[in-house]
Amino acid sequence: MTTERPRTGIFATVDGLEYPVNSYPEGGMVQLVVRAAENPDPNLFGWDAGSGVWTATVPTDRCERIVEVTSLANYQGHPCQVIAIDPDGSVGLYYVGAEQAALVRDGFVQIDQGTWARTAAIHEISGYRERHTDLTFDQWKAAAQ
Amino acid sequence: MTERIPGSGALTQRERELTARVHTVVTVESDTVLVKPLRPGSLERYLRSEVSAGRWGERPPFDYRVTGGIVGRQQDVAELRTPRELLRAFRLDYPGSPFVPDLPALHVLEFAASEPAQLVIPLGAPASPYPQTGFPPNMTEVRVAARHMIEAAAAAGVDPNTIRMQLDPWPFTGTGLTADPDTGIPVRWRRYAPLPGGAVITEFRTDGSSRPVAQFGGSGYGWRELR
Repeated sequence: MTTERPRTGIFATVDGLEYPVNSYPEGGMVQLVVRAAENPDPNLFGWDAGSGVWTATVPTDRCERIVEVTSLANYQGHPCQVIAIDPDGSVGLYYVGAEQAALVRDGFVQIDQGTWARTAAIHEISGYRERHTDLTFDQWKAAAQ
Repeated sequence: MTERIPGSGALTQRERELTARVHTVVTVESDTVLVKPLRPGSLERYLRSEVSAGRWGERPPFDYRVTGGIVGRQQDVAELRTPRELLRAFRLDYPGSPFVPDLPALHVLEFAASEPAQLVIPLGAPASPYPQTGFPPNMTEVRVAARHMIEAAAAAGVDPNTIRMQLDPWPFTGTGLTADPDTGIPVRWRRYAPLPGGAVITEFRTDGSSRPVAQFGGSGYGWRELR
């Protein structure tokens, strides 16, 4: 389990251990990439000297789970995606709900079409949670049919 | 018909259905290339691998591994060459927009859809939470227009699982199409999620030239500048 917060990315569980994945599954494979001093699993990973990372390419059907993880929290009752938490306790939030009436009153600014953001303090958010989207859903849905 | 509200609010129910029908033929597969114009200054943030909470009122939160929001398909903007043309097609003149028509260069993020289930059609109606402008999102007429647009999409055969109810300031139309009458394009809303490896940032200049300036190797490798 990686301990970064907020967690954002794709993660695969192989042989009971979770590793960060470089990108979405493609052609039935995923590429695991780990930045660490030691090889996380010598039976699985090889050293990419050019990039300074341990890497492994694994068939998706060898992975117990492949999930896309994003982090959510509430600010003033508004559901938000947590984009970043700075060392000084500042939290970057993107609004993810469908009720825009109170956004400006509560300090959100439109930063892109349909994207409302604000920076808040860590003590102002609650209900911190992770959303896991199962990237193997289509695979096991097809198998269940 | 709700006459005072532009976009979906200005259409008859029959017109809403005809408009929604467009979305039954606008397909996105995992290898469909999506495009998203970037706010000025974003290229530098990507290249320095910034993950930042931002500063309220100055710069928005940012993560170099993530993108989302309104996107278009590359095939729908393939004929557009200059910043002005792209800004017009996407109608990036929303309230508080950092985009100006005479930008010398516009950076556009291009990436494979990879997971099309992340994409939904932004349907609803134009509304403005800024008290001094437009129709507020909690106004009955706005909500009625938005609901009628979603009902029209269902009647046109659009999968309800692919719709996101959205109320945003004009030039958001609520129809899933941008507001420009000549170069308006179908758009999708992408949930903010990891960028797929292979994404490219292309620079479009006022003389109509373009070139890739950065490439994303994936979350494990980050961005590299192309010279």
